[in-house]
This record gives sequence, structure tokens and C-alpha cells, in this order.
Amino acid sequence: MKFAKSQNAPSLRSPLSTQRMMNDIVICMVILSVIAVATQWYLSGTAAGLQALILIAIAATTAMLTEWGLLILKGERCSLVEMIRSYPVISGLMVALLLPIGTPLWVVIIGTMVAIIAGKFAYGGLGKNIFNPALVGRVFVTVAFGGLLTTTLTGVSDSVSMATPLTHLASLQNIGTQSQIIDVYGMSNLWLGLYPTALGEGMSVVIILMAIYLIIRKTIDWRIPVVMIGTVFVMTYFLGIENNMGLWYPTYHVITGGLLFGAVFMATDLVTTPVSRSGRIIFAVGAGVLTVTIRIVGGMPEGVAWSILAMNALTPVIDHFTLGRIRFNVISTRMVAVMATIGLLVVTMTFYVGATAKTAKADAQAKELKRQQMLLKKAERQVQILSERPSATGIVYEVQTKGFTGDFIVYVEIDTQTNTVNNVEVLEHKESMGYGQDVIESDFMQAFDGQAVDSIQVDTVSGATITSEAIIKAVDKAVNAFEGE
Amino acid sequence: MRFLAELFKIGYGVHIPGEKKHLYDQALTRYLEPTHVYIPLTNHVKHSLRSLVKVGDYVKMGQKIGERADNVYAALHASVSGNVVGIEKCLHRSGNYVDCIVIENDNKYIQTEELTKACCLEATLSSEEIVDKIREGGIVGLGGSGFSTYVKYVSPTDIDTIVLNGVECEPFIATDHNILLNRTELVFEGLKIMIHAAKAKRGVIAIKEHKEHLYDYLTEFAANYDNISVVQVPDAYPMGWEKVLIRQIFKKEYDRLPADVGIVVNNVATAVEVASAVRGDLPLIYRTVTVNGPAVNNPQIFRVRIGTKASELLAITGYKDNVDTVRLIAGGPMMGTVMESDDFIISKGVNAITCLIEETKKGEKPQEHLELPCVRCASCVDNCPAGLQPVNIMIAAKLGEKDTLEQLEARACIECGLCSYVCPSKIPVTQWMREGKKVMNGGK
Repeated sequence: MKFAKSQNAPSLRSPLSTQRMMNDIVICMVILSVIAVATQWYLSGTAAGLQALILIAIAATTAMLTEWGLLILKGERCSLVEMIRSYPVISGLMVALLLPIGTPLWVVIIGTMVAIIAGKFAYGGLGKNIFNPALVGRVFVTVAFGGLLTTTLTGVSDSVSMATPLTHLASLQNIGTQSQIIDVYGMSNLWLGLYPTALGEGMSVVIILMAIYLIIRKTIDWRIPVVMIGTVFVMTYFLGIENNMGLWYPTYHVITGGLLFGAVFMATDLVTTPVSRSGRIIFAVGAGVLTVTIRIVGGMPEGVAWSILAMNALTPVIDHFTLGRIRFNVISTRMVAVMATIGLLVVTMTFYVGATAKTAKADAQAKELKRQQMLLKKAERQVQILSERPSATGIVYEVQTKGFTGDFIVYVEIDTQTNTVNNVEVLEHKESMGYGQDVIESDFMQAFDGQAVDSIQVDTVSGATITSEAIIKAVDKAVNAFEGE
Repeated sequence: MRFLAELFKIGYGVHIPGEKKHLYDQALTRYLEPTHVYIPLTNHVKHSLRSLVKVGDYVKMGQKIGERADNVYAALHASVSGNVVGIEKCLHRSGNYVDCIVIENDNKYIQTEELTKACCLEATLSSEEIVDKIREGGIVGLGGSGFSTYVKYVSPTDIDTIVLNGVECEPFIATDHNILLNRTELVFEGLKIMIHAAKAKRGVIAIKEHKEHLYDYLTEFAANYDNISVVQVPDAYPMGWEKVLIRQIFKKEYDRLPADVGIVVNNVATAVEVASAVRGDLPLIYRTVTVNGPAVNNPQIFRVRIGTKASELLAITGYKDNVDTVRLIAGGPMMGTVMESDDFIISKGVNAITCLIEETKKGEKPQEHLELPCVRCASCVDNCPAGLQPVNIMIAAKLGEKDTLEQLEARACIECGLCSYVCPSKIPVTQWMREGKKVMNGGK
């Protein structure tokens, strides 16, 4: 019998391998890619689906070719197998999934190359990079070609033309009613990713299922996504309560803007996160706080990428502070100090973000009020009766009035027997969705019915003052005309 | 607070498939008549002992033939009777060749006078007398450490509990299981003597969970003793390390020795030998050894004389036909040393012989793993039972940073091998821990 030469203990190895962990991520990225293509197909048709497919394929290919070329240049390893084992395909697919459908393909190529060259290889390749390579690529193209990254596809007529959820939120100074924020997209669409965003960021339900799978397989540490998302949720929850917004508000923050994608796939990147458990928690809290701050205080709607990169940069510092040995049953004073600082940071930032958002909203509202008052004055001059004709029970006045987006016509029927308003109706208008349109389609129109002409009492609808005022004005005009006869 | 503890939790170990269930009901194979025994003149890995006999002397079974008399006492005894035929260098479980006293077995097993005397009752002995008997009996930790047992009982202060460690967390080994099942009374008697010697209040026998049969049997047996209980601990590695074991059972942490928190831990096999030494003046000349592993044709548990050659046992068990090269390990696969030949001596510390398949005749190499770059996944940090950061120790060792290694407390590593086991990139992390210690000792 032959015997193995002396080897160092241990002689057993666990079945979990880096390849398996990396393959898990690759599988998730491929599934997300397929869903992204299907989503584009569903939202904007065949051409969009095809474009998404090409974009993803180009990013993956560019990443692999770049890595291979660099390995050959480096001269040490150059086999195809070695290239695949360096997993450039993960970075490539992530860059693609972080980009919107309208990104020109040459921008995709540049972004992917930057991810591999500057994000990964410049530091020495797999395991040595400081920043998440895909985020480096994504942020580079945002800075360099930001204007070209559109969520609409030029040349495709029926593609959706809409702001991304966070841009929409920013236009409202981050505070608004449920109908202003959620109903523009629809809650189920938000969960399913059926709204304009980067290709792979929106599918919240799918990403959550993948996170559960990866956590069970021990491919990612649950602490990072849970703590990061939790931090964002808690901070925006308090911002929501402060401004009479319900649980839907933090939910909106969590499921939009790529937070789930970032927290599950990018903040958990093994290479660029701290090694100690406490360090990973500090990392995740920091990324969460920064995300909310960038979104609400800074003007940038997409805070996730920047905050994860910032925490990547801080990882060596976090590692330095959490260096050493942990002991069971002993919570070191250093740990207590760190946790206290983090807690203080979260609380302070929550207050700061809340105050900033409130001030911004108040400013915007004051401005909006001024503008509305001016418009109102203008509108008063523009209410006129176009015609009057008898109906079965009375008279119908056709009144032209000035709304938020232009003139529209209100029909006011007055019962001549009882001297009451019989019916108020708007047949055609261009009022905006979520505002004036809601008023016209709501109970507001019935509020006039049955009221005596000499004592009409109807309140304007807040959030759609101009439209409701315009309708009230039209009714007044008709009533005045009736009483004058 | 519980949630916080979970967030930062220190490792309790990892479940490793045991591959030893087939040995649980196996009868003990007695292999007690070797032609020669080779008594290694070493206690631990480093310290050599002084021989008390010379070539040509006739020795009786149980006769003291070697001792070490500096700070820690150790004694060696002849495990057969016969002539000393030489002092040879033989392969020891440390992987080194050490001097061994070779005794030719005359198959008469003539005992020393002490051995033939009637047995005494330990109840009449004082604590000091018991410690003396343990010391003279040359009893060492039989779980694999080989550390002199008496040291733990010299001037014991505030010892509350004696823990008998029957956890046997390494895969493939069923030695303690067999002892608990077949030598139950001696285990309990040994524990009773240890409690008496340490002036402790109670004794605990720790075994792994999911061994219902053994647990019921031991619990029933423990009913005869008013201060001995049996506890089950999770099936994880390294649950048998006393630090993890105490953390698991008592939720206590100590820095230096278990005695700091009023606990003494001994292996169950050690308890058997303590009982024999104290009641019958029988020194440590036998031990139980498991021979198991995927390369073994007929895995068995042996009762052998100290100094028997491993090759004789392996000749009985045989190797599987398809095996070309064996990775032969003295001990378990996690902490045991790989032997370059099966011609090594079963010394006091060899609790098992594990045979893994290095290469099959078809050229398959199940032990070969592709090493990838470290991706800083921190599996080693998450699982380290000592609460260390192996990945950082590895980096510091590579850079030769002594100060960082001090800060990382690299010396607290017991080389349990778990970091290498869990490393998904298959990096020999444990080897880097050893390097780190070398750097700290200025050996670079």
C-alpha cells in the first residue's frame, strides 16, 4: 500500500466551495436577466425585449473578453477555465441589470470595461478589489454619460414615458399623499417591477425570493440585506409618520430605486465588505443611512450605488476597528461605543433628513400656492357661459372654465321648479392624472346636486385646488346667470 | 440582548458528517498479543523521557521503564513482560521518529508485585494519595492531547464540576462511544474518584445528541450515583474542545484553564484508566483505538497494548481494493497528523487511525481540492470557535506583522482545523495560523 506524503491537518474539507457560491450568484443574475427581458417585452413590445437581451448579452460578453484579455496580458494564467473562475460574468451581468433599457450599447461596453479594468483588475483581480466592480462601472457611466441613460427606447413608439419612482418622488419633495406617490404606478406594479427603472432592479418579489435562497445556501450573510433594508425602512418610516404618510411610504422607499438589488447582491459582495459580523452590521447601517440621506437631502434619486461604494471605501477602516478576538458573553466597551455611535448616527440622521424634507416641502408648497393663486386670478377672468338650452326639468348651462392644464367645459343643469342644482358634469378635459382627473372622477361632482341656487356650499379639494376651483367657479357663473334671468 | 448575541455570535462549531454510526454497535476486537511492543520515550510531542532500563534487561508487565522528572512528571510502563531487545527510532504520532524501548513479548504477562496485590478502596484514600496513583500510573489525556492527567488534580481549588468528555466530535472516531457502552461501570467509578480527588460537587458526562440509546443507558446508570448526570450537546465540531463544551453546557467562558471557572474536563477513556490505576494500581498500558475511514475495508475498534504497531491493526482491517494511495492519519481527520507509513507506534495519545483515500486505482483523488484566491467571505471568522479572525491572521502572517498578530491574539488558536474545513476557496487556513504563531515566536 502506498501512503500519502505528510500533509497538514485538517484532512477534511467542507462541500461548500467558492465556485458554488459564485455559481449561485450567476444563476440569480441569469434568472433576473431573463425576467428583465420578459418585462421589457411585456411593457414595450418585441423590440424592447430584444434590445434588453442584446444589452445584457453585450455586457456579459464584454466583461468576459476584457477579463480574458487582461489575464493574457498579465501572462500568468490565460486559459479559458481560469477566466471563467475569475467570474467576470457576474460583474458584466450586474452592470447590465443596473442600466436602463435606453442606454446606448457603446455606453454599456464602456461601463462594463471600466467595471472590469478599473473596478477589479487594477487592484489585482478576484479577491483583491476594494470597490464592487459593477458599481464602479455603473457610477462611471452615470457621471460620464448620465443624460444618455434613459428608461425609454428611442424609435419604439409605445414605450412607457414616465419618471422613475424616485425621480417622481423627488419632484414632490419626497412628501405626498398615497394617490400622488403610489397610485401613479400602482402598488402591484411596484412589487413586480412594471415601471421605468434599470433593467434588473425592479423585480422586488423575485429579488426577495432570491435573497431567501442565497441566505439558506449560506452564500450571503443575512445580516447585510436585513440591516441595510431595515435601516432605510426605519428612517423613512419616521419620515412618513411625521408627514402623515402610512406604511406604504417606507415600503415605497424599500422596493424602488434598486435598494433590494443593491442590498442583496452588491452590499453582500464578499470581497468588498468587512470580515467581522459586527463590521458587516456597521457596513449595512452606514449604507442604509447614506441611501436615505442621498435620496432625500442630496438631490440624487439613486442613492444606493453611491452609498455602497462609500461603505466599500470605509471597509478597511471598519475592519481596523473590529480587528481582534471576540469573546462569548463579553461585550467589549469598544463594541458598545461603536454601537452607540451607530445608534446616534441613525437617530440624528433621521431627524436631519426629516427636518430637511419638511422644509423643502414647505418651500415648495408655498411656491406652489403662490403660483396657484396667480393662476386662479387668471382663471376667474376666463369663466364664461357658452350657451344655455332648456332640458326636461330646467336649464342646462354650458360653461367654459380654466383648469390646471387648460380650458374645459362644465355642464350645469338647474331645476327651474325647485331652484336647485340638478347635475354638474365634465365631459372632456386634459387635467392631470392623480390631481384634477381624480377630482372630476370623484364624489366632488355630486356635491353640488340638490343644493339650492342661493346657498351653494362646496369646498375645494386640496391637492387639486385649481381644478376644483374651476368647477365651483363654473357652477357659480351658471347660478348667477340663472338668478339674473 | 439575545438578539444582539445572535448578531455577533461566536462560533459553536459546524456539523461535520460523522461516518461512524456503523461502529456504534460493534464489539471490541482484542488485539493483545503483539510479538514486540515499542514504548516511545516521549510524552508530548517535544519532551523526551529518560529510560530506566537498558538493552538486555528483563521487564515485567506494568513495570516503570521511563520517566520524566522536570516540571511535569510523566511515566512509561512496560505493557508486556519480556526482554528489552533494543532502543530503536520509530515513527510516532507526531510525525517524527522518536526513540522507543523495544520489548520482545514472552507471552507470559508476568505482573509486577503491585499489580498482583489486592485492590484497595478509593474511599479510604486521601485526595493526595489518589493524585499520586494517577501520577505514578502514567495516566495522560486519552482523547488525543496526551497531557498528564494528575496536573489537573494537584491542589484543586473551588472545583465545582468534573466533566467527562465523551463528545468525540471528530468524524470517524467511535472510541469513546465504545468505552461508554462497554466499560460503563469503570467510567462512572473513574468519575467518582475524580470528583473525590478534586473535592468537586458533581460530575457530568457529555455525549453528542441523537444517540438516544446511549443516552438512555447512561442516564439509567447515572441513577446509581447521586451527583452524576448525563448531558447531550449538539453534533458539531469542535464541540469536544473543552472551551466550546463548557460554553455550551455552562454558558461560561474562561481564559486560561477550565479550573478558572471551577471545572475540570477529562476524557471518558481517561476516567477508565484512572479507575484502574486507583483501584487496581494498574498503570496505563492499554488503550482503545478506532480504525475507520473510507479506505478501510473492515472498520473496527481495538483494545491494544500501548506500543503496538499500527500496521498490525491495519493488517487485520485491510484496505479497500480500489485504493491505490491512502492518507493515513494518527487521530481524526481534523487534527490528526498524516503518517508517511503505517509502521507507526500506537502511543498513549493515539485514539484513532483514520484512513482516507488519497488516490484510487482509477486515479481519482477525492482529497484534492482546487485552491482559489481568498474572497474574504469570512466563513473562517464566522465559525472560529475561539472567536478569532483567521483571514486577518493569515494576511498578517504573510506580511510578518508581529504587532497585528498580537492584536489578533493568534496564540489563542488551538488549530482545530475548522477554518481550513469551512474555507470555500480551499485555502489551508489552519496552516497559516501555525505560520502566524511562528512569526509571533520570532521564527520567521
